[in-house]
Amino acid sequence: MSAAPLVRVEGLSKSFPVTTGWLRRRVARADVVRQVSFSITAGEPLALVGESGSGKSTIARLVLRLLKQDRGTVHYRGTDLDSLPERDLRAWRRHAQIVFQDPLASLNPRLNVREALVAPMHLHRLASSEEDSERQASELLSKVGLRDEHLSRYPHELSSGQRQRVSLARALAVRPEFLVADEILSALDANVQAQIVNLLIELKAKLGLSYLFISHDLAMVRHLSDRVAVLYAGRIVEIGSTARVFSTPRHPYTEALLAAAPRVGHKTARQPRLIEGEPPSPLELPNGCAFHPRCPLAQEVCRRKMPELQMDRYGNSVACHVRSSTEGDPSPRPTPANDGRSLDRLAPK
Amino acid sequence: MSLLNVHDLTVEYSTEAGTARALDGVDFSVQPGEIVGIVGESGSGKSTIGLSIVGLLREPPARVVSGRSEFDGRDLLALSPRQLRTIRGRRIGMVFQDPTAALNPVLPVGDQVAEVLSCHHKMGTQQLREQTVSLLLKVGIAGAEERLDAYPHQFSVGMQQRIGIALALSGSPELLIADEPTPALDTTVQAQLLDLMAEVQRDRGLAVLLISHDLAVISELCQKVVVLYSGRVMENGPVGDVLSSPLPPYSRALLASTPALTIPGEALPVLPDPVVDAAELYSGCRFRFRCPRASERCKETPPEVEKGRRHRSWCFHPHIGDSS
Repeated sequence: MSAAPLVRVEGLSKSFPVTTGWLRRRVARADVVRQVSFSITAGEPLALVGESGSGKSTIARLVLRLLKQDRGTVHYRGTDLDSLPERDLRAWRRHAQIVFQDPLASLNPRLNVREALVAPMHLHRLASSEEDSERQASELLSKVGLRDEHLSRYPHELSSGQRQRVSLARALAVRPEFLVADEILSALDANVQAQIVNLLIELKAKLGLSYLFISHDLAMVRHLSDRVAVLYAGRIVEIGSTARVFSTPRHPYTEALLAAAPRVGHKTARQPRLIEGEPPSPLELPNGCAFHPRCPLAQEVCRRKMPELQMDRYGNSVACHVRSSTEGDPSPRPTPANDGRSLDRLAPK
Repeated sequence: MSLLNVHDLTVEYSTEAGTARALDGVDFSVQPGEIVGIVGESGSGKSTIGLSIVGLLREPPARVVSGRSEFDGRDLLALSPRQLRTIRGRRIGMVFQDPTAALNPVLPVGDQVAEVLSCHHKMGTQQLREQTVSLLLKVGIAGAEERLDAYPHQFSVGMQQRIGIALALSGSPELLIADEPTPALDTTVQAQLLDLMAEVQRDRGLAVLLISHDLAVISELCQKVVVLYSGRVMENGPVGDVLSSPLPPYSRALLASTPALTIPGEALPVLPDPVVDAAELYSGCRFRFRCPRASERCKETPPEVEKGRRHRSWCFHPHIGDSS
């Protein structure tokens, strides 16, 4: 833990203008990421969870410098990415790769699998010859569970699961040390999901690959990450060790999110869900804590003041006026989320 | 008597590469007021079931080779399009996967709901408006009266799916077919919609056929589940029995791939995925190429296995009497 983190993000903020008409007149501003800080230690995968619009994908792009932040810094192995000239930034990209949710949008339709895999190797001079790149491409494919016959296929000739495996193989082609996986499992069948999950686990163990895993699938997050950050309306509301966040969630939103996940062997409507309504629009964020209009615990202060993250004695942090004051209460509270419905209680017979 | 009785349904698609059998002798039934889940991976034929039993398959390329789909005693597959229209939409409602695609983007939602309502029930303008508002309120569109003139894009996807459910309920159906009604939705919104489906089901004594790839969703909502693999029914029974003691190795593998059931950080069990010759594919057990228990016998049509009263499977090597 004492080693310098691989990635350190501080006070990251990003907003997008909302424009109208052909003059692109600015009519509003969407605050998508607000004051987000976290760090990722090598070999300790961090997961970002949150619902659509919570800012997960924007954070992924900011961390990899695919988008420029409004405020805040991103350090990679101690180097401020803002200080890197364009040339060095391009060289750095070899180490940090991303796989997107929609492989059809991220693969070039005019390149076959071989060309897609070989291009990044040539770009970063990682292949010594044609035969070498061919051999590497074939190895990459077998790693992601595809075969040599797929080398000459084009994206439209592959199923969505196969395409996603090709984009993963392409990201791995430059042997990165840091991988951002933005909802890479959501379009896949359970068996293919399991294959990719196992590959990520193996890459972490064998090559020390570190990753930022973005997902709305809580079971996968628990399975794959050591640490988890829960996002709501562009801010981190809770961050800490995955085991602890899942067993004793402290933010009321985290609790509600865990309670809402459907799971095998559990019946809907046996218990009321914890929250109503939907997340706020980034165009009209509520004052104070953005969660207060839906929060069962909301008090006067929550409408006025934005809560800051506060660390408890277990090293987990929560941004909540109500829950921070009951500092690190170790006993499970009698809330529905802990009432025999926690994911931990679900053990096979 | 069953409300819906699907018997020996076989559907083929003709493709450039030849004929693909999407469904092969599918049997199942839905009793009045019962929620039945159909679970399967992509390509297992589950959406084809939803479309073919109400005569919505595009023919060609699809072709119903054999089978019956009896609703309240009448075979829907033998009815004329005109006769079908008196049942579909009115007595059988449908909720589709993508609400954005299911709603007309250039019509206000109030008009869309009112249009469907007026198809099914004769009523005056004022009453139609009241009915539209009450239906939208029922599915959880707050302030429905003020939002009748809003267009679909002005609603979130979760709200659009609520409107989709309202449309499906507008004919006061006895059976609701929901094909992956919550795939693109956020966790908390998905939970709200599952609650809504459970609520309308209870209030109206509706029968529901829920099609999903997600065992967790099926397990939350359904009483009975049909496990589909490559167009064949692998297992059929009460949800509790199937989940706690699945009979065929396929159901067991499907359950095992859910990460909630393994220790975090451990490898998940993965099934092999060999290349299968098309000629062999349509005989014997479809799962034998990937099955850990497969034997020579599995090339033949697997026998029916029964455990308890309504829990059935078609398998030579079911998990019976072994606790592992």
